[in-house]
Amino acid sequence: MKREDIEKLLGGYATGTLTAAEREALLAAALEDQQLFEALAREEPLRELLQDPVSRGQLLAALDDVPEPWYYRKLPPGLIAAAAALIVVGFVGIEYWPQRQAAPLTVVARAPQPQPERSPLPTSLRPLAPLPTARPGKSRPALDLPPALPPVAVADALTAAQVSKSQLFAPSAAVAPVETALVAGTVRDPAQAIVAGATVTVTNLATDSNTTARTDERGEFRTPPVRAGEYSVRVEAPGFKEFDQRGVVLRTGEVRQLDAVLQVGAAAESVQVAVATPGVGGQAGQGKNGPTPVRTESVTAFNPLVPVPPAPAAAPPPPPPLAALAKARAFEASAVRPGPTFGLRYSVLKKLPGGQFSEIDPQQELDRRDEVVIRLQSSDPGYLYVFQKDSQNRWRPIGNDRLTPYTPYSIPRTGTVRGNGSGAKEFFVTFSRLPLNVTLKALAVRSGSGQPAEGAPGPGTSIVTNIAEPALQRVAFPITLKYK
Amino acid sequence: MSREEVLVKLRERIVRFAASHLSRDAAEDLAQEVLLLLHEKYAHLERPEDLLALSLRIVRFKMMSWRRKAVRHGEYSQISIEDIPLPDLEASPADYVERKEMLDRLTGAMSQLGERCRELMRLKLQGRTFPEIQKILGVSSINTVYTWDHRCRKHLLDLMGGDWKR
Repeated sequence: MKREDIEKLLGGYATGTLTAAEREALLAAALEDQQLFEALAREEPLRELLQDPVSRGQLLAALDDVPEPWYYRKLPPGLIAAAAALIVVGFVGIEYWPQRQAAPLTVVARAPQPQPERSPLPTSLRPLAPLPTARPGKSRPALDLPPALPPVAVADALTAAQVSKSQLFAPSAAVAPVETALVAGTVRDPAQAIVAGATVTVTNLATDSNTTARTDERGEFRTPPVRAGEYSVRVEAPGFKEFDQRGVVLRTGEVRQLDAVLQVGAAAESVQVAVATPGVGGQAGQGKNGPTPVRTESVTAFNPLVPVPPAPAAAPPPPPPLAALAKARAFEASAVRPGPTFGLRYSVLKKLPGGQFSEIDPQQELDRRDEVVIRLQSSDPGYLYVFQKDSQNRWRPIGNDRLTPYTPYSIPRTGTVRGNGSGAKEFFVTFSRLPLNVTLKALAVRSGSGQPAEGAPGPGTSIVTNIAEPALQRVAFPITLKYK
Repeated sequence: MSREEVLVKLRERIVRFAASHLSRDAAEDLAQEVLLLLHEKYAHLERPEDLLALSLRIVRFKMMSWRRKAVRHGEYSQISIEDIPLPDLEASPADYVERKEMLDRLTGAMSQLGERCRELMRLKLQGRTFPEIQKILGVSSINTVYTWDHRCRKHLLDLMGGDWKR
């Protein structure tokens, strides 16, 4: 490859996009070329940032969040028709406009005309005619004002007034300081696990202006400073019901701690929380751990091992506004997307002598000294449950976590897997859109039989058949590491 | 290329790079520190690409430590390289804040990219290689993908103010 071509590989270094050959070519060239070496050194902070799966996930989410330009958005057909009609009418109008209106322009060279002399500004005030005396009980008659000054005279008058730039742009001492406050807190799911990447929208109820923030990898958020006043706080995350809290009154200088617990469900549903307006002496409706949520609807926990009773018929909710409905639908479509795209893939990475990991064939027989890591990646947000067969041939849960799409998850979480001479190491993974209420008892398998008890999601059981909602899918498969 | 030859070249690269950020003496000391580490802890590494990638990381850690120490002492004059503590590889609050700031800036800059660049970045972040990206985007030549990526990276870097880290 030529020097210019190799330089083009720089973009793949930090993201880990390079193949082994490309990486080798780039680094070998950097050894010979100081500029390339320095360019690589400058890529290090980015590479380090992108090694963090949470950061990667957040960037991916941000890429998906970019709104489409207005000209890509779907416009109402009526509006398009009206615009088309206007264009046609305009076109026809220009074409058939009477010729007197569209006389051709003729450019004629003309000698400069002498400018008429401007009347000098009055240097003294003209005496005004005395106002007629207002009679009691009668309205004041209209004033007999002199005619308005022509524009030129106004401009001259402004110049004469000598308004300096500094006077025009100097900050006014009369501007009052803005009274601000902010909202901060943590977003968790029902299992008290943090929810990263949730969108928190704070809406001023008086002005209807929105301020948004996102939860970081610790599930924490902090809004930019907002004006003091009454607000509603909305928290949204894929796979969860919308959390909506109204009547949050922020006072000047206040940092309101607001912790939200999101309920599992479709995004179109929402859990509303009411908070009483705080009084002067304290914050009513707020306990030690923040505002006390008052759920206005009952949420049935999804348990795949127990038949889900049919939900009682409830009164239809009032139709939401069109924009909110469209947003909810888009959100739902992105969060719960049934179809073949839903999946979990895995790869086996073997540790090389240099400490780097390299992907190997999962079927490859390993040496007992080999250190490997199983890397899982999901196409959608969901929950992962990992089980391992122990030395007594029983399945044991060894971990569960919430997965962010295309963010690698490693088994084990820290360190590596090594062979112990048993011949094979068996894992079983289950990935679900919704959290499963899996108990250790339900997961226990009969020793030696290899069959899970009570229809638990273990090997040999088609767990996809037991789903309460067709749109909510699960995948499960075994992973076996074979040792020589 | 033998390991010794690689290390000689590496030393030259590191000194010249570090000298643009530190004093010449500090740069030479830093290069020596890196080579010492490579010699003592990573003697089993032979391939140039492994040695170079590792040294880039060590140089970054060393320079970050140097800067932090200088800031902590309230001084910007040179200090002995022996006073530079070994880098703490555990995540520190300073690292966290630095990463978060960079992530915010990167997120903002990426939102200003064009559709093709965003798609390219999305595929890269998903862990695809350039040949895979070529297939997904249906491009006949991989050089086209390289060129697109080169331009997108340059644009993104411009949006970030010319440097990933401010």
